[in-house]
Parts: sequence; C-alpha cells; structure tokens
Amino acid sequence: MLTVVKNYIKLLYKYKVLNISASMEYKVSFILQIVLMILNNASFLIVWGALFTVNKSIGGYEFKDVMLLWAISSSSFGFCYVLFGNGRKVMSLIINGELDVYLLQPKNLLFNVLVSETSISAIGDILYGYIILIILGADIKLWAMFSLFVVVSGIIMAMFGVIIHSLTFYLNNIKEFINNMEMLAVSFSIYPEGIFGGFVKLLLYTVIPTGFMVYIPVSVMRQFDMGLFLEVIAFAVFETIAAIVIFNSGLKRYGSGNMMNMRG
Amino acid sequence: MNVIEVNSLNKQFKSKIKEEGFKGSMKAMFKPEYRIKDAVSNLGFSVEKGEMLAFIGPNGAGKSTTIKMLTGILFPTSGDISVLGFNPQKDRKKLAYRIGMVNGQKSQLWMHLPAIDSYKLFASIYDIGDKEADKRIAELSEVLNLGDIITQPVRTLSLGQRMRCEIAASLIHKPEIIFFDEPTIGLDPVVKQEIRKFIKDLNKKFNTTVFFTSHDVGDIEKLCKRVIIVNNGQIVLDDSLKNLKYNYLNKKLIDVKFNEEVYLDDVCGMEIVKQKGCDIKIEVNTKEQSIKNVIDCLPTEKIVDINISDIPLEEIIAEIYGK
Repeated sequence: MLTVVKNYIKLLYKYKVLNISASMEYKVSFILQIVLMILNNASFLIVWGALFTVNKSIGGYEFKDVMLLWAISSSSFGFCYVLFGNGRKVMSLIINGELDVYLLQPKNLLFNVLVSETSISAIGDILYGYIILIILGADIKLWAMFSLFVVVSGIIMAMFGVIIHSLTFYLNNIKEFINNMEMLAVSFSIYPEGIFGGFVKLLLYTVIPTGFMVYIPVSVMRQFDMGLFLEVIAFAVFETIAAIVIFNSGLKRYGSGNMMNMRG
Repeated sequence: MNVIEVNSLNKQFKSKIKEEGFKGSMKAMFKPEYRIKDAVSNLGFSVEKGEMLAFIGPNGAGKSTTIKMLTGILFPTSGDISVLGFNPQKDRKKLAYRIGMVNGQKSQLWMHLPAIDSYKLFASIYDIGDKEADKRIAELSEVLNLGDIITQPVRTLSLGQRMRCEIAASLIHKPEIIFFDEPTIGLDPVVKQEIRKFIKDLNKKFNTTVFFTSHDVGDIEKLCKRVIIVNNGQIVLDDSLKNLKYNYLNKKLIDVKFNEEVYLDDVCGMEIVKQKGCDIKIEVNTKEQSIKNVIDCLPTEKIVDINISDIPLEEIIAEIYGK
C-alpha cells in the first residue's frame, strides 16, 4: 500500500515537472501568464477598496475579510488547477474520445486524467493569495490554517468540477451548463456571504459548494471553530466519494472516438 | 497457448436520428428517435502467443471498436473477452502493465518536449525505477535507431521520426501483446520498411504477440501470417495469408509484351484486362483454365517478354470487402 502511494506521488511530481518544463519552453508566455493573473486578481481588490471607503462593512465583512476571502478563493482555485489541470477539460476529453490514452495506462483513471495537465496561470492565483497574506501581516497560525484550507477547498472545487463534467457521460455535450456552473462557483466565492440569503444561500451550501469552499474557511480563519472546520473536511470527503462514484459509473457509457490529436 | 480469446462479442452504439433542417432539429429535441448500430456483432476468435495477426476491414467495420474492447477502453454490450487471462474491463490496470498500443493517429508524447522526457514519465506510470528506465530507453533507442532525435522537441520531428518515438513509448514496459492501429499511416516507403522490420524483429526476438490493423496491404503482406477480415462488425474471413492469396481467388495476371500489335479473341478462358500497343494484360481463372493452355493460345513466336503474377492482395481484399 505504501509503495502504491509512493508511486502515485512520484507520478504526480513527474507530471508537474513535465508540464511546467513544457510551458517553460516559451519563457515569455510562461512568465506573463503568472504575472498577468496576479495583476488581474489585484484589480478587483482595488475596486473593493474603493467600495469600503463608502461603507465600513459590506454583508458583514470588513475590507480585510474581503481580502481574506479573495486570498482563499484565489489560492484554492490556483491549487485546484495546478494540481488537477485537466479538471476543466474532462468534458472535452470524454466527448472527443481522449480518455483512451489514460485507459491504456495502469493507473487510477480519474487521478491520472486530472493530474496529467497543469494550468500555468493558476500558479499566479496561488501566489496572489499568499501575497495578500503578507499584506495582511498574517501570523504563523493563519498561514498554517490558510494553507490547509487552500488544499481542502481546492479539492472541493476539483471534485465539484468532476461531478458536473461527468454528467457528459449521460447528457453528451453540456458545455454551456458546465461553463455556467463553474462560473457560478467562482463568482459567488468573491463576494461576502452576508449579501446572499434565502434560496441562493441554500444553493451555495448544496448544489454549488461555494459555502464550503470559501465562506466557512473565512469564518474559521476569522474565529476558529472546530465544528465548522470538521464540516469542511467532511464535505470534501463526501464530494470526493460522490465524484469518484459518478465518474466511474459514467465511464461504462464512454464511447471513445477517432479524433486525431497531439498532447501538449 | 492462447493469449486472446473472444467469444460472442457484441457492441452496440445508440445514436440520435435527426431529420434535415430546423424542423428536424425541433423534432429531435422534443421527440428524439434513436438508432441502434451493431458496431461489433457476435465476434469470436483466438490469438496464440507470438502470433502476428492482421485484423483488417473497411472503415467502420468494427476494427478499432474491437481493439478498444480488447484493451479495456470500451465496455462490450455482451460477450466474453480474455486477454492474457484477464477480463480487460474488470482488470484494466493489471492488463495495462502487460499490453501496449501504438496508434498512428493519436500521439502520447508531449509535443513541446523531447521524447526522452515523456519516456521517463511513462516509466513512472508503469512503476519502472529510474535506473531500469534509463537502461530500457537506451535499448529501445538502439533498436529503433533513435539516436539524437529523442532529445529534440517532438514538434520538430518528421512524421517518421515521431512514429519511431511513439513505438518506443509503447514498449517502455516490455508488453507481451502489442496492438498496432495503423502505425504506418502517412509514412514514406523507407520509414514504412524500417518500422515493419522493427515489428518483425520485436516478434522474433521477444515472441511478442502482434495484433495489427492497417489499410496498407504492404504492412499485412510483410508482417502477418494470419488475417482476420471484419465487415459490418462480423468476421467474414479468418485464414492464413497464404490461403487467402493462393486459394481464395484462383486468378493470375499474365503480362505479355509482343514484338508487334496483336489482336486476341476472348478465347481459352482468358479475359483481356488491358491492351496498349504491343502490351497486353490477361486475367486467367485457373479453376477454369490452366496457364499452359492460355499461353498455348497466344502467338508465342511474337512474344518478347512474359510475366505471370498473382492478383494483388489489395484487389483480393477489396473484393472480399465488397461481398
């Protein structure tokens, strides 16, 4: 068992090194992707800064809470797509019959598919969250808790993606639905929880997991609560199991294909 | 010993029927109708260890679907498959350690990196240690004459060089069965010959079972002793290449060059396929007429040159496809 885990970690490391090396072949593009992503994220905080000159609190959040919200949202998004770079491509892999290459390899299919790609711009997202922590003057406890939530929230985001992309096995081309669901999850994660109520709030703790991805982590980082912390961990475990079950069940309906393609 | 056994294999695909135009789109949206297509129907065959088998058929015959079921990519609708004693769908991971696949139309290499980087990743995928991987890469590099090309980005390689690199990638874990799906597609004759020689050596040296699909009859003639022809998802012929060539169609071609233009009647059971000046091409059905009798019918004193040959395999196969 230990050897198996070791082999998977080694494979994960090799995939990341290979993908980053491939992107570094074009060094200007590589650096620009990361830097521009940091600048893009920073522009939103400038807007928030302007809003907080009018109101001291928006939806129960002060400016530094919004910064923390952006930090966790950005870094967990980045972690998700640096680690699981193919997370946003599962639908096209299914539709275009591109799972064949992975099915011929002796590794867990979902793991192999997800980790085999790396989003380079997402490195900028990870860095941006930590830059905010530096600006906030976070102590060691906050750094540790933040890093833990980056991993857990990143996994929740990835597994949410796997669930909606796996519906492709049953519903065929649902590109617009998937794009909208992904956009909703991210869009809700960059606004204070307090501005949403009723049905929308219910959605954010059920169908769209933004509540578990960012709202509870921000709340726990503001004031530690073991119960809420365990809730996030439990949800991550539940969503991972759901994603594995839905993906593997759908796989029996996989139709492959004959498209000519290259990896890159 | 059989390494592949297939019994009563079926695979059906369900596809939506859409009538033309906007009206058809509306109908398909609210009242969809589906068509069930039998991609593979009641297929049964076995392959012995070390055999080189050509599995051929026209486009859409069910070749790729069968290979994908044998390798665990697709789930069959019904039927039994055993590859090296494994059920490919239930034991996909275990089987993957022992089989390989080369697909002429799908690359598994990272195009912006040298092939050697991809090989090292594949070594990790197959749990091969770093030292063992280096040894294996050196071996394959020598056998496939890869030289410096494995250190150049794949995107800069010619198609032939890339295909040699693809084959090496599929052999990194020393598979016992290798599936070749049109490996010579688009290659020039010299590279084709090199690849055929390598596949032959691979089979001879390691007794690797080769399961081969190709539309290139040259590949089949040069490599395989047995041919399975599939059409519309069913086996229409399973025989040795020798039997296929010499027994299935008893026809010969006689090319004759005369010293002057001659006019032959369609006698002695011969059929004039082509006549251009002093050159005549005659097709003979040897079941009805012996070659000797046909030659005796010709004005032998005017013959400058004569050549007797089999009907090209391509034509035989095309005729079988057409039946």
